[in-house]
Amino acid sequence: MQNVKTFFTIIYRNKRAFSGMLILIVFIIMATVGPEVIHLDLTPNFENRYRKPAIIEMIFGIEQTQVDEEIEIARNPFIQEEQEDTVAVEGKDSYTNRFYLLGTDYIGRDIFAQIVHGSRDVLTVGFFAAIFALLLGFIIGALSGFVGKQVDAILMLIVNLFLTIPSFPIMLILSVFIPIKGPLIMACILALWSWPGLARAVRAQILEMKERGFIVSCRVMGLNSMYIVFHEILPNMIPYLAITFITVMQSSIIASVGIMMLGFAPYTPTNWGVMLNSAIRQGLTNPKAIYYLLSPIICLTLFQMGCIFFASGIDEALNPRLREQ
Amino acid sequence: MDNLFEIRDLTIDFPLRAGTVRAVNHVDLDIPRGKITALVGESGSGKSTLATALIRLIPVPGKIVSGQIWYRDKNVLEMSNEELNKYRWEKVSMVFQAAQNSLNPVMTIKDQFLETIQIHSDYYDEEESLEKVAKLLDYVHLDAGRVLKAYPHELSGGMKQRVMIALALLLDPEMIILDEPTTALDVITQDYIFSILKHIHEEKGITMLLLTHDIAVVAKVAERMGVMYAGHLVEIGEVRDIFYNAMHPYTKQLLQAAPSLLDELKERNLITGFPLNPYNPTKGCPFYPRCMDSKEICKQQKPPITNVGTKHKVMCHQYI
Amino acid sequence: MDKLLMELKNVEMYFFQKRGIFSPKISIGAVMGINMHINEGEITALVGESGGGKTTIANIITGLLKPTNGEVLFRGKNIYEMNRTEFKEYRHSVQLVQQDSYAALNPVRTIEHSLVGPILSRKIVKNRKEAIQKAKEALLRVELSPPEIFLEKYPHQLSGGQRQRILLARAILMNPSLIVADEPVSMIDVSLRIAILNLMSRLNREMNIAFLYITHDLATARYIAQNGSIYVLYLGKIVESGKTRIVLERPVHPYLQALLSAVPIPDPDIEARKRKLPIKSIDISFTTKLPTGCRFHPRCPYADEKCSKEEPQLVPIEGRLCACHYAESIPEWRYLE
Repeated sequence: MQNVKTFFTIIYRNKRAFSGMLILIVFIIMATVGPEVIHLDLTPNFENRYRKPAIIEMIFGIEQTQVDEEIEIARNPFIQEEQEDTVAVEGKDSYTNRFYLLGTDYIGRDIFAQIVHGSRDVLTVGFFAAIFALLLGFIIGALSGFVGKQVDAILMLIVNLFLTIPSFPIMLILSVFIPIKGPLIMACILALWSWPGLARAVRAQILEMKERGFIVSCRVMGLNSMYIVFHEILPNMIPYLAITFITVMQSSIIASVGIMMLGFAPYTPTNWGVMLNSAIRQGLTNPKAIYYLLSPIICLTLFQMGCIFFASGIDEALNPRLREQ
Repeated sequence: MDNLFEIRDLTIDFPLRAGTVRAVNHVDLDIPRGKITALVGESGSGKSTLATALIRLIPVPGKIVSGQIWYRDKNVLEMSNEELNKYRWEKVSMVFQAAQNSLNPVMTIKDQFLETIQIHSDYYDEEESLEKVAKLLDYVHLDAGRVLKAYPHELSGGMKQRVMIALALLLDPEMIILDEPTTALDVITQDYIFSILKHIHEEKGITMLLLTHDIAVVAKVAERMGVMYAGHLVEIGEVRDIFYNAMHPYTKQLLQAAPSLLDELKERNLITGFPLNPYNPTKGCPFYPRCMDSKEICKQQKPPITNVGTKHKVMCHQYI
Repeated sequence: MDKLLMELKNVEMYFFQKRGIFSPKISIGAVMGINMHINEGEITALVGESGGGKTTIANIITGLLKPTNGEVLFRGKNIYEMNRTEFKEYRHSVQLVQQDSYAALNPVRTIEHSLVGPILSRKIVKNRKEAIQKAKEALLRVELSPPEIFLEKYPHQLSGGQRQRILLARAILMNPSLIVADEPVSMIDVSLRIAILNLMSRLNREMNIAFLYITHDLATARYIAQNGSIYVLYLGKIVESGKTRIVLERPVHPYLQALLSAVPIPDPDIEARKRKLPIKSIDISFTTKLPTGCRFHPRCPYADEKCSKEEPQLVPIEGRLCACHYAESIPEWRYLE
């Protein structure tokens, strides 16, 4: 526990890492607690389409000409002349009196609620992708580096195979053929392309460490390989693994958002990638859709920033040597 | 005998996160022209930092807090960048510790020599330069034909060290600083390198400043020596005076601590206590915790520098 | 008292160097024809230059490297023919203390972990409490007090001398009969070296642990192995061996004589009167080709044609073994003119 305390003290000292950590904490709360607190209503509400974020509406006022010809015709193509003042009518298809934190999308649904609900999915995918990639990468890298010879040769052949194939197009193809029904399967597919780089790096570190003085001492003392890998080598790699975890999570999230943005594997409507997809398709030509487009992008960017900033401080916090400097 | 360098009241601090370390503490030192001066001290003594100050290459985050380094009539610490470029390597050069790792691993030895000449000359002629380099290599007993086209990893440690010495001599400097020039070299090669250095000194009259922790080497090579402890210059004098008439308790213990090949085999005394905590300097004598002859005043007051013989000075309360 | 603990019989180690796809692999003899005896409770010194094979021998004795030829015997039994129990006993009995004390400790683990982990894992102690107790005792034995403070530290928070003592503590926790110390004091300040050497002498006396002290520094070798034996290694072969007092008082082999002359003496008057090094100033060949015949002949002032053709064997002379064709006629070594 002493170590946990020093960890947070050091992160606090590094302003950038600390702000990164805060951002990540916000997102984690959003993902875990958010969906319980904020209610998601996915029923279309055309009167409310493209409402602006609360701040802007409070300053500039709600646009009165929300309801216009288009919607009238869409709703009731046969009634064209009537109902000119259906503006402030209570009921289902009309303005609600509340404000929307980030505005509404192309069919009047609360963007913020979607973001919150989507964050859970997005983070789940990223988290599990990172875990799978890390597990697979570490085990294969450690086996390869420690056992060596034939095992090493075969494993590295597989790793190199994966590394030379461009990941994103393959993931797109895979997401078409494999029915992706949930975040875990998505995570698996994303992990499939992150583990090889990790395996190679782990192997390189193990090869280097094998010759280091303290590992040689372990061998002279007769300690077996399992002890050496888990008690001596692994603790040395914790900073590296932690940083890799965060970067894999970050890149998986971008990849998953990208895949969904292009329209593949839309297994949930609130995932930010799907939101982007809708935003592009429905609203790219409509300047009012800017908030719908920007919201997931900004959230994504913030999240990435949080990851990167936090990762920049982890090495120092986890490595006892660097702390004193 | 005039002085090539006169260091006055030099203080260098290293502000680190855990505190400030005073690596060099108000040191006065004269380096006489044409002689080999040795600075003896262990890790943390400040001798390397002092030497880097002479060519203004103090490692970050070191800061010069006070003092001047007089070379001829200029203060090295106030030289401009252009003056420094003319000064470094042309007037004073340095052979660093573990210099064998200072060679660029992806360039041949020949290219490294030529590059150095190119950077420092306005007029550069390859043939002329190569001739000069070949002569220098010959001087340090290296086969120019073989060595020039080699890469550093193809040479042994001793050969690389000699290449570094040749590089240091390349622009005919007035002084060479050698920081532990023979670590990681075996004793026969060490003997060889020092005989080369003495030869160079005799023939070219180059002033040398030798930094080492091995006092036996000093006995072999130097004419004048200074002893540093915890950033202070605690004793300085002619080599014979110090060896046969050591004054400072630390010097005496240093001389005692080195097992010699010729002495009687008895269990030797060791220096008691542990080195000072560099983050917590005392106001008294830095050697106080380890000194056999210490008195109360040593704890309270830093001793002044006293003359105890011809050109022999000591920083100790016993001799006031 | 002279019970044989460890023996190397005709040990040879070749390393193969690949030279590209089309050339055959060439073998470089790192060490050849090594015969060594290490007795129980004795301090033996192994002296040689860097790259001369000292570390190879250390690795062979500690079982890290299997020699290409020859036998490595522990208490009379070949370690590569031992069963699991015997090998386990060997592994505990022979320990290694390395030159670089910083690299020899896990930088992200406390000293407590580095000391306690191995003895727990190898079941030398029954439980963690006993392990910590033993660790504290070991720290006291190596003069690190109070031990609780040192257990909490990380390697980078300690000085070189303190770390070296911890390496010794770690070694003695395994209840060894032999500690192989590979240049244990070369990275420590000169004024602190004697303390570590004295500590090793004490451990040798009090716990009857034999030491193999490997170094290039003859002065410290002479100091610590004064009552033991010394082996002098040159380019992978032993050129002289015997009781330290005998060998260093009257060295026979020209290489040893040169080595002794090269060691600087902390005495300016003596240094001024020293004779020139009895060695031809030619570099050790830095190619992989070893000299034919006697490996020292290109640098030897007494060499003749026979030396370049025939390799000399170790023969007894004046109470020690020496490998030189002209051992009997080499002039007596004098330090001064």
